[in-house]
Amino acid sequence: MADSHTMGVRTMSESDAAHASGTTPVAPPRPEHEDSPREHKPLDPLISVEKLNIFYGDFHAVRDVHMLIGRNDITALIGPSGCGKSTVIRCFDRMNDLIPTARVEGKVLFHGQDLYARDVDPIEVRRRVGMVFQKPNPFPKSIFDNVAYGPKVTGMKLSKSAMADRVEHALVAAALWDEVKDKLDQNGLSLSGGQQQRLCIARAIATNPEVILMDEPCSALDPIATAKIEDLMRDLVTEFTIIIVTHNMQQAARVSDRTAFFTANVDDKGSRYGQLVEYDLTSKIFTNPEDQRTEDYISGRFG
Amino acid sequence: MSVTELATPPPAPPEPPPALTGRGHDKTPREYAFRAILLACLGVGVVFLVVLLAYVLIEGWPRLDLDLFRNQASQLSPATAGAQAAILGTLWLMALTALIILPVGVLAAIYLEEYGDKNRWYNRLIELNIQNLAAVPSVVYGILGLGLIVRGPLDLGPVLLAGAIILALLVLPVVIISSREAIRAVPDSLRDGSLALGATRWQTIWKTILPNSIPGIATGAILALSRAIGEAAPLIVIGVAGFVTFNPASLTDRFTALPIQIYSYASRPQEDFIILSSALIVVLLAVLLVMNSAAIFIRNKYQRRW
Repeated sequence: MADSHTMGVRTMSESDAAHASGTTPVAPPRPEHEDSPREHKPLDPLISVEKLNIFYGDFHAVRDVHMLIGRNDITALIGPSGCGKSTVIRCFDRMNDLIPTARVEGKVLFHGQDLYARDVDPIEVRRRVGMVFQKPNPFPKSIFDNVAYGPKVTGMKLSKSAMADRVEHALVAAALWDEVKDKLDQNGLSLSGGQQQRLCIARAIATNPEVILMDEPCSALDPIATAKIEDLMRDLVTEFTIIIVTHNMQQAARVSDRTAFFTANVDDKGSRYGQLVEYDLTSKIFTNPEDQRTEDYISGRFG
Repeated sequence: MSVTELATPPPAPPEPPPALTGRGHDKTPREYAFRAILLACLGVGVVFLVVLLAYVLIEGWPRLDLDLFRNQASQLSPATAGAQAAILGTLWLMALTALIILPVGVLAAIYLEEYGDKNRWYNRLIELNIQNLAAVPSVVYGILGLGLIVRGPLDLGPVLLAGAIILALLVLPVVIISSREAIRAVPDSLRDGSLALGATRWQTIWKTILPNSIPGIATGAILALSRAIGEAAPLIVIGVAGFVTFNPASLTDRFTALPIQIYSYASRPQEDFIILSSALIVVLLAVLLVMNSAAIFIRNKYQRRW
């Protein structure tokens, strides 16, 4: 198993090694994080993707993805539309199961257990791996009930005060508590878009997941709300492992530790498919990418 | 004058701005004629309805009194006869029908929307047949009910329960279709949100989808009931009596209902009975109006924007 990891993320291991051996580190993209230790943190694998292939019916949407996702890292998946990054992120909590024609081949190992093994319960997976969606989707319930929804459905038998504590903790962690503590019984839909998205993050946190997936969490938000969520992600990553899909390259550069660049290819039969081109430290991807396609994409010559 | 100036052609005279004035493309005879036709079509429906309502109201006015509710039907004294048994029978029928159609209709809709794989031929067949069943004439349901429920295997006789089952069968397709629409109107983002938190399908349906589709389901069910309330044909077919002078007290009592009572009174020659039947029509229409208003009220009150 270890062999296939190293093979799958060769570029990653090389650059990790480069850092370890003291080669000049590449300047991080955001000056205020210049002394941030995250640039040097070695990868502590939590999820290992091996030869992942995803099909929709006969359509082979994503081909041969290998990657290692680090614990307490923010891993960004970037790339042009149709490159399969959203499809890939939905493999980590088996949300692709909800699309009747979707089929996944290969392995997604989480703590060494294949999420796609026959005896794995997707519902159990989703309790360990939370997800935040592109469009804020709070339930049309009170703010409190939105956050309490996860603990309730996952069968946590909490007393009233324990539930209140958990809701408060999640809202504090999502940097929303101060704004909503006096109106927990108001409908979640009454909040602004940015607040709704933080409510959705709180909702995901409340079930105590290890991983939080974010599928373009800021694409429906204004820049101020986006900045809040990005700061929040940097706070959350000390406790959680975060995987984010984003269209916004600056966002990937600002928040993520490692970045995977996907692209859409056309095979000889004319069928489009997504492929992982390059996966490395974010600083490396944005300053000194190995692959010409990555270079073209991040410098805006493509997509 | 320099050479370059001489070489430049004189500037072209400025083009006049595009004309925006005119007689009005919207004011041609054709446009007017089209609008007149639209209005006339609308008028046909509305005018007939208004005339009908006014006629019934004027005709039945002298007998719109509490005697309608207080007294039982009578063949001898039309001036004071009422229709207590029929009014109560209709209320019983409505309540029983609602009790049958709500759980059955909603659960069937949940299966079709949330569990049924729409690519399977049998689910598509069921779907198609529900659409067709909604269009089957009510008298056919009456005959079916007569053969299976009133006589035949169930052999209940022309009692309340039998009537309610038949009316429920009659409007069930409508309830299923409207419940499906209500369930489908709950955005997928809420489904995904719930499932992504580790909820089971059942929890998602119970805690998120149903609460958000109840307004639509209620609206559909009320409209279906208001169709059932006016049905006379299936009840006549199963042999519900037109003249009953005792109130139903249990599911297995014989009964009569407003449409049948109206039919029975209206087919008598005496003027007083005609007036009485008009008054009962007003009562029936009033109940319908209340039910439909309730449906509209529920729909507007709980209308959500996601």
